[in-house]
Amino acid sequence: MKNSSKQQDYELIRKINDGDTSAFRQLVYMHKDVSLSLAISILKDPVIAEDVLQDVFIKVYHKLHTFQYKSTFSTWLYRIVINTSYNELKKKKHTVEIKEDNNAFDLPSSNRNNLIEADQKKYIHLALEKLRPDEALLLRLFYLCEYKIKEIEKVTGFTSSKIKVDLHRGRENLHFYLKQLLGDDLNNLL
Amino acid sequence: MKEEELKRIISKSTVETSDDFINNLMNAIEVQEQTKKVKVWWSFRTILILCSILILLIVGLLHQVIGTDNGLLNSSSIDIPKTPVFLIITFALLYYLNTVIRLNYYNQEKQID
Repeated sequence: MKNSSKQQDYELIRKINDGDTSAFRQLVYMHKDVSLSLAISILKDPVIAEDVLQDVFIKVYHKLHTFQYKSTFSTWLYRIVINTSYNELKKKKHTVEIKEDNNAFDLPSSNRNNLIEADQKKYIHLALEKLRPDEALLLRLFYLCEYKIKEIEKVTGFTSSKIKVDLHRGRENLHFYLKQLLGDDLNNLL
Repeated sequence: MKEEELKRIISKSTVETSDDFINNLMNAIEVQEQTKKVKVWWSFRTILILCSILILLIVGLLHQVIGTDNGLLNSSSIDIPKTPVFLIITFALLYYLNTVIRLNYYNQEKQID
């Protein structure tokens, strides 16, 4: 599965380098949502993250001829997404505050019954938003992109020990915030 | 929380881009490509170099014309001072070059805004 998508990416990149812009459209379509999720992990703001992603894809379009087919395209792309997002974070001096206000999470009891898909997504986003950028990013890279520690090292530039520690903290904090948000209804999510 | 449960939860955390994301992106790329093509021929650097060469040529020619005893200014009956004429024309040309640089600066500032 992973290998076939890798080959598909390579095929599209060759087409783009030959001047086929519709292939670029397809490449963006395949990677935009995960890339946006990674950017949001760092920036916490969907609007800013989407702007950053626009810049990233423009950069990618102009630099695609330098891609050397040594790594997967997604690894190359996510590295650019992560670097650009951290740069934006520094520039805007966004301070990601972890709210201590427990009441903010309390939901009416009627909302807690039979969580539908859209609600589930909303609560997961809320919980991930509360995590530190590094933790949310690492959780998404590990569980969403299914990257191994070595691959995460390459993409983020973090050391393996930092990755392991932040992943552990991320898991614990995510569970904590989800528990705060949903209480016993957390089981519906699992 | 078990690994499988976490994986299931995080797999639901994908955020979708807005509907017109790809169209906006492709438009932005197209606009950049167009301006890039124009910039190759009419880049500020090209214009500045051309203007500087032109000004050097004019000043050089002017120096030749004014400097010689049988020059243009000597042939007329009125006594026209050579140095002020040379300086006025030279400064006027330098002011013109400065205007070109200033226009480019304001243009860049406008683009940033």
